[in-house]
Amino acid sequence: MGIVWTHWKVAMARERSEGSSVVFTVVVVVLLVIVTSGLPDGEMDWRNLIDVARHPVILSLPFILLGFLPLGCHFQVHALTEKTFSFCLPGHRESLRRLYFSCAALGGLVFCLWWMVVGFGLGQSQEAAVSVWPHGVLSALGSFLGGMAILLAISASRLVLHPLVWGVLAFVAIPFGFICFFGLFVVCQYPLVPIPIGSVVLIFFWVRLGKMRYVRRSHRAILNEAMDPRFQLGFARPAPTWVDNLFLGRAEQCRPLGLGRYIWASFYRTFGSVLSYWKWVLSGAILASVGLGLMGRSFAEMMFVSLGLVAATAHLPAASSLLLPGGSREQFWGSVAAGVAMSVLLVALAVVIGGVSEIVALRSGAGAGDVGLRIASAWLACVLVPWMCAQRVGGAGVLRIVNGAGATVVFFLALLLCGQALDFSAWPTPRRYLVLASILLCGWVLFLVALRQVCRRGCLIGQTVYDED
Amino acid sequence: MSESDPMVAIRGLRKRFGRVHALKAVDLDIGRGRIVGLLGANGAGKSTLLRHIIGLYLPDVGTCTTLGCEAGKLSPAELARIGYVHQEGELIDWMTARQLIRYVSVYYPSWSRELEERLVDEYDISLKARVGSLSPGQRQRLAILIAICFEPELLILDEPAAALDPLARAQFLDLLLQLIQDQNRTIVISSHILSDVEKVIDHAVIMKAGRIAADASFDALREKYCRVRLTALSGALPEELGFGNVLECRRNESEATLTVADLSAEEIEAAATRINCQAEIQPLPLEDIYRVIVA
Repeated sequence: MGIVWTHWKVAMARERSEGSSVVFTVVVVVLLVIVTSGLPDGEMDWRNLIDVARHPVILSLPFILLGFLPLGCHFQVHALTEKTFSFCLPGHRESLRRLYFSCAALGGLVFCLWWMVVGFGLGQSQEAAVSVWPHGVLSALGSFLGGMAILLAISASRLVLHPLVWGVLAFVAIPFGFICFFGLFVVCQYPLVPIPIGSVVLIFFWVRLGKMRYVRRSHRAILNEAMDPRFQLGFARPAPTWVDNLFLGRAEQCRPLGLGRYIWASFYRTFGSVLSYWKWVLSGAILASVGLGLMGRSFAEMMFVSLGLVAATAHLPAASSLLLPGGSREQFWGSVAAGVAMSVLLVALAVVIGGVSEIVALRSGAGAGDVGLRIASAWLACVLVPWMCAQRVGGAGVLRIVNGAGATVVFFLALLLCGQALDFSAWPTPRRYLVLASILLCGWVLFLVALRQVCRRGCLIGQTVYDED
Repeated sequence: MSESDPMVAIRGLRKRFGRVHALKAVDLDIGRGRIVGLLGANGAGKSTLLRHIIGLYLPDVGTCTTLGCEAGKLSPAELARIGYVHQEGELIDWMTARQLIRYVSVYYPSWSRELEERLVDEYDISLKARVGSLSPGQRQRLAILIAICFEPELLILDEPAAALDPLARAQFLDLLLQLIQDQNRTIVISSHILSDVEKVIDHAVIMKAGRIAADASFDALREKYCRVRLTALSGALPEELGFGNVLECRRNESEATLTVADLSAEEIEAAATRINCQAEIQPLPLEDIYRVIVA
C-alpha cells in the first residue's frame, strides 16, 4: 500500500498546485447554482433563509465541492499511472489495481452522499425516504457501487479492454455515461438496478487489473502512442488554400505592422485548422439537426453546452509563445476580435442547428411537444463562449486560473450538473432573459479583465512556475 | 560591456518565480554588431534574461531597455526588428512548413523571399510536410528560418542548436557569421555547446545562480586565462613553482600543467626561467574558461 499512498500524496500535491483553478471552478459553479436555483416559478422564498438552506440544490453544494477533490486527484493519479516509465518502477505493476480502486472508492463515496441528499431532497422518493431501511441503505449502496463502476469505467477500461472494443464502448458510453451520471432518481427509486450491475463491473475490473497481461499491454499501448506521430499530431490538419487566401490574403492587404494585419493573421491561426474540417462540421451540423429534431430539448441543451465549450480549445493571440510583432495592444484587440468572431460563429451554428431541428421536429411529428424549445436553448452556446475564453486566457497569464485538463473536465461536468439541476424553460420570461444577459455580461467582463491583465500587466509568455534554463 | 548607445541596456534587473530568485540584480549592456555568448548552468537564469530582453517577461525590479524602448512596451515596429529562437521552439503543428512561413511572413514587411528560398534549400526543409510531423532537428531549422528571414537587427537565440546534428550546427554557425559580417547585426546566443559558441562569439556573458559572473570580450577572457605547461629542463620540478594566480595545478616529477589568471607571457617566461623550466603557453578553450569562472 506504500506505493498507492505515495501516488496519492503526489496527486494531492499536484492538485494543490492547481488550487487556483479549482477555486475558480468552484466559485463559478456556486455562483451559477445560487443565482439560478431559486428562480423557477417562485417555488422558494429567498427571504426565508431556512427555506433556502433546505433547498436540495443548495444542500447538494457541499457534495459538489467535496467531489472536486477526489475527482481532481483521480485524474492526477490516472495521469501518473499513464507515464511511459511507470511500468519499470518497482512494485508499480502490482499496485495498479489498488490505486485505481482506492480512487474509485473515494469517488463512489462522494457519489453516494450526493445522490442520497439530492435524490431524497428533491422529493422524488418521499415514501422511500421515510423507510430508511431497506430502501435508504440500498440506495446508498447502489450509488456507491454505481459511482465506483462509472469512475473505473472512465479511467481504467482502456487498460483492460482490446483497443477496438474500448473504442466502440467509449463511443456508446458517452450518452450512456450521461444517463448514469444524472440517473440519481433511478438510484433512489430502483436501488436494486445499480447494485448488481456495479458489482459485476467491479469484479471484472478487479480480475483484469490483477492480470499482468493486461497491465503489460496497456503500458505497451502508452509507449506506442508516445512514439506514433499520428497521436502527437492530433486531429488538426493543414488549412486548404482558400482558407490561406481568405485570411492571409486579406492580412496582406492591410497596412504593414498595423492592427488589421495582426487581427486577420491571428484569425488564420484561430480558425484555419477548424475550417479545414468544414465538410465534417457541415455534416455534423446536419446530423445534429436531424437528431435534435427527433429527440427532446434536454439533448439540445447538452449539444449547445458542448458547442460553447469548443471556445476553450481555440487559440487566442494572448496565449501564444511564438514571438510575432504584436505588442500588448495588438494582442489585446486580436484576442477580443477572435473571441467575438468565435462567439458569432458558434451562436450562428447553434441557431442554424436549432432552427433546422425545429423544422425536422414539426415535419416528423417526433418531439413535437418541445417545439420552439430547441432553438431557444441556443443561448447556452452564446453564454458559455466568453467564460471559456476567460478560462483560456486566464490559464495562460498572470491570473493562472483554470488551465489544467482535470480542472477543465471538472468545470465541464459542473456545468452539465447545473444545466441538469435547473430547468431554464420553466422560468418566467423577463427574469430569465435578465439573468442570462447578466451571466453573458459577466463572462465578457471577466474575459476582458483577464485579457487586460495578461496583455498589459503580465508576461507575454505564460510560464507555469519556473523556467529551466 | 559598456557602450554609448547599446542595443540592450539592463539595470538592476530582478525576477522571482514564486520562491525562486531567477535573476538577482543583473546589469548588462549589449552593444551593436556583437555576437554575445550567454553561458551558464541549467537554472542560471539565461532564458529568463533573454525573455526579459524581448519583453516576454516583465521585471519585478529594475529596467530592461531594448532598441531604446522599455522591453515590456515594445511596439510592433520594434518587435519586427527582433528575431527569437527558443529552446521549446513552439511552432504551429497543424500547418505545413509552407503555410507557417507564409503565416509568419505576413507580419513582417521586411521579409526576404530571397533569404527564405536560400535557407529552405540549404536546410532541406520540406515545404509540404506538416510542422507537427517534422523531426526535432527540422523543426529547429524551420524555427531558425522564420526568425532570420525578416532580417532582424537583434537576434536572440536560446539554445538554437540543441536539436541539430553536427553538420547542421556547422551550417547554422556559418549563417550566423555571415549575418554578422554582411549586415552588422547583433546576436545573443545562449548555448551549452561551448565548442560551437566559441567559434562565433566576440563577447561572453557568464551567469551563475541568477547573477552575472563574467562580462567581457572573448579576447579579454582568453588573455586573462591561460594554460601553462612546464617541463623541467634538468631533474625534477621544484616543490614550489613560484607562479602567482594559479587556479589549477596538475603535476608529476618533471612536468606540470597550470591554469593561471592575469599573468602576461613575459611574467610566465620569467617565472619558468627562475625554476629552470621550459614554459609552453596555451590559450584556454571557452569550456575551460567557463569552468574556471563558474567554479
